[in-house]
Amino acid sequence: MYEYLRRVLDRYADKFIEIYIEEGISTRIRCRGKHIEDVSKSKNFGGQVRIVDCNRSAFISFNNVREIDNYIKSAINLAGIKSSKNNCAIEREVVTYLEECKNYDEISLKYKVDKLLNYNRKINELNGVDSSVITYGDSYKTVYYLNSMGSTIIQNKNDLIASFTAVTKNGFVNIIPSVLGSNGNFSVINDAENDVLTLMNESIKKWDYTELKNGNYPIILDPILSGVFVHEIVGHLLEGDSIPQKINNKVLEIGSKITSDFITVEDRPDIPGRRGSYKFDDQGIRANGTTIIKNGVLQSYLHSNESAAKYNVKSTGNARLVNYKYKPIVRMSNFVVNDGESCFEDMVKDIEYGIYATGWRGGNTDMINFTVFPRDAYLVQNGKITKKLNNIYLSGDISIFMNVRKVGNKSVLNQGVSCSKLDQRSLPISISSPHILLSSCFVGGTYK
Amino acid sequence: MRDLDYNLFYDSKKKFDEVEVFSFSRKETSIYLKDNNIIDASENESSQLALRVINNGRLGYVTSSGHFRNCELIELAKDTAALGEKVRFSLDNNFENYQFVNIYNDDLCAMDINRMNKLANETMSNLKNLSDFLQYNCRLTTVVDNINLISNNTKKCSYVKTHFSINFEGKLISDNNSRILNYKNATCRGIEISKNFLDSIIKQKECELPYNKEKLPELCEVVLTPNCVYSIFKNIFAMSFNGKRASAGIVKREKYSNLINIFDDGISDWMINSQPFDDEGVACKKNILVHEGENQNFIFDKRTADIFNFRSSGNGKRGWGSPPAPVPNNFIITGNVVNNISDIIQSIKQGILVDYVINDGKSQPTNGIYSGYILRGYYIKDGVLTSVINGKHLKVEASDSLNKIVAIGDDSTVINGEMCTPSIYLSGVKIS
Repeated sequence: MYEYLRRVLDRYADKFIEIYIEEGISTRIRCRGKHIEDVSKSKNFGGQVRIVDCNRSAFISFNNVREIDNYIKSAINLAGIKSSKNNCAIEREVVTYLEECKNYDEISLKYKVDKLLNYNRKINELNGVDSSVITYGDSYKTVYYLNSMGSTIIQNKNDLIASFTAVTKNGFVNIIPSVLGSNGNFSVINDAENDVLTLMNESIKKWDYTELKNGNYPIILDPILSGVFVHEIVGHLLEGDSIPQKINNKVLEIGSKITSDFITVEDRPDIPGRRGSYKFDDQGIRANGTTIIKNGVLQSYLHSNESAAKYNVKSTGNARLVNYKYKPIVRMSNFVVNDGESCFEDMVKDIEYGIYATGWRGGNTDMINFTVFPRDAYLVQNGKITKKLNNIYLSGDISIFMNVRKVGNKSVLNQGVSCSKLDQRSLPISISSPHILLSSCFVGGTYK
Repeated sequence: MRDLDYNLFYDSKKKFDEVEVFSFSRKETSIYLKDNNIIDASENESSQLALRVINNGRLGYVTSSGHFRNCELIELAKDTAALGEKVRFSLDNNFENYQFVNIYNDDLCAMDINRMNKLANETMSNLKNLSDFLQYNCRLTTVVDNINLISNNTKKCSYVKTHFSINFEGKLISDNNSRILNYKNATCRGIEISKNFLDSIIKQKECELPYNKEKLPELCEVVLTPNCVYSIFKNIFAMSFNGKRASAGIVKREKYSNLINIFDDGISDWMINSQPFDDEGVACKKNILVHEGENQNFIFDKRTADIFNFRSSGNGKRGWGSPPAPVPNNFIITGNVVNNISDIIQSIKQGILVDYVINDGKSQPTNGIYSGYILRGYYIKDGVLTSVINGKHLKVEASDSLNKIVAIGDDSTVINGEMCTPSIYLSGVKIS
């Protein structure tokens, strides 16, 4: 197919035009209660044509690739390009990179369904569990990227994510989620049974609950929560297409100190085998990885071609799209918070009266202020975890990272996380992070 | 698509006990404005075909976008039906009892990029006349949807729906402060909401008050405007009234203040989630969900209703690649007793009026809690809006707060084309 697309594009060599096509198959399986609710398959084929002019871009998405020439003509019309020369074709590497197409699924549907039903049975057998919801999805696709400058890139992008949820009713409805993911490798499901069941058992365990007054407390974030916390509050803030002009009257300038010395953060699409891994981004830019913060100092924003042009720098290879119906925008990939030197036990011992928060239930941000809901939270008194807190939330802005006092020495890789931005939801990413101790964070909303 | 869906239907009929073919195509045209410039134009064409089958009592489901071969889809449907759930419902449909609903506008259907450009230029000119200090993002979108369904007994039904939407968020910058302005609306009727959009932005702009310096109590009297009710409660209602919760064992019949009624309405003219029938061919109607505070019904698709021996409520809708599931049509909130909104504000000694919240109020539907910052709110003192609330955190626990309704306003407004609600006055809302 790409030879055909190349021939069509060559007719428009005087303009900067990009074509993206994806072709693949996906599977969805859902169990609810003790039953299987959904077993379905989708065959997907679609594409897009993009034109970026200096001030205006045009985008067309479609399902019928045979009409590609007409779509290109329509896109030229949409962009309102009158002159034949497109003066915004940024200097870029011309690449030919062709992976062999592998948009198929090697594990049988029956094997997947049986495995998930087995999980479902075991979750429902746990003491205290009233019901369960398991949602599984995988996709195996080949994506084609071509531009009129001569680049042709073919990459396979496989993805798998499964969430396991136990529902308990010990006085109130408690929903205990556990999420796994991989770059399409089903072994993650084969291998994680003990981890999922142990986590659920831990969450169900009967604790003494206590309430907490709204206020600022020292808090330890577990690796899952700390990773998502840094991703949501720091990562999104430093995406080149949405950097706020000022936060607390300060500009987020490269070279400025934005967190305590203990924090170093990277975005690493070049680490192979993770959910956010790729060789080239969806604008055909080679992904080499970016150090975003080093020892608290801002090193780089993340960029697509458009945002890089705005800041007069080169793209960092972070332009990604969720599927052919959307344009590439600046996104994180494999987000890495580097290890520090502290061990978790020492962090707990450091706290006289504070909180240990674990897991991630959700959150929201307007890019400056945030609200985050941990899955579970515990009171720490005199260096010991004593009681459980229910439904707390954490809130603040990026300045909270100045309060990081310790960073753990043992990162955990979280592949059970997807990222949503604007109307593009559930983009595959991974986050690797250790425990983090904040000397103070606003905690609100505890009640039984 | 017409021939493709019939071909697939007849080929599949030879292989399965029951067959249903659903096809959907959409054409969407968008113009994106930023600070008085058109920066992006897009046209999205998407189509999808879904084959649902029942074989030996088990349900199978497969979808395809783009090119496909019938035999390939039929094989995939066979795989899924061998492992799918045992069901008792049928894929037959007589397409009876439909009500006519206005969801189509010729003018919107014919809207091309040139007319969209003209509208975008008019919009920019109007916004520029409002203020030189307005920074904004604004998206104008027209959508034309074609839906076709062939049921197992070879009956076919189809409709075309159009809609137009405006999504605006702006910041009015002055020497000392900046204020957030927003507007989000959609309708199947046409582009006349452009006028309403401008009126709303002018009204927001003219409400110039100093920042509040008074300390607010932790538990506060709060009036949520229709805009804010939509932001906070839309997700929560969609989860609370979803019939699937019952099958997960977490059904909880909500009990709210007897001042409130809530409906799911699939046949309100010009609202964007209205249609004559849902994606399973079941006639849409207006269902009572909450009457005088009592939860009466949930929303169901065929499969979920089948589990409880109920009938579908006309809420079976398909996502991209996913089978029908209970999805709300349009929410309509009414009060048993309504009060003039000005009288409500005048009756409050100390409280706040909240009009717009962070992240457009993405609530936590699983626990029914909204928690986030107020982006546009006003302090009420002795019945008068005296100052602007800035940087305050609002927490609303849906079930609890709707039990504490003091009054419901007479200012019912359609928000984003999918919820019609008045302002709601609550007591004891957490502010920090």
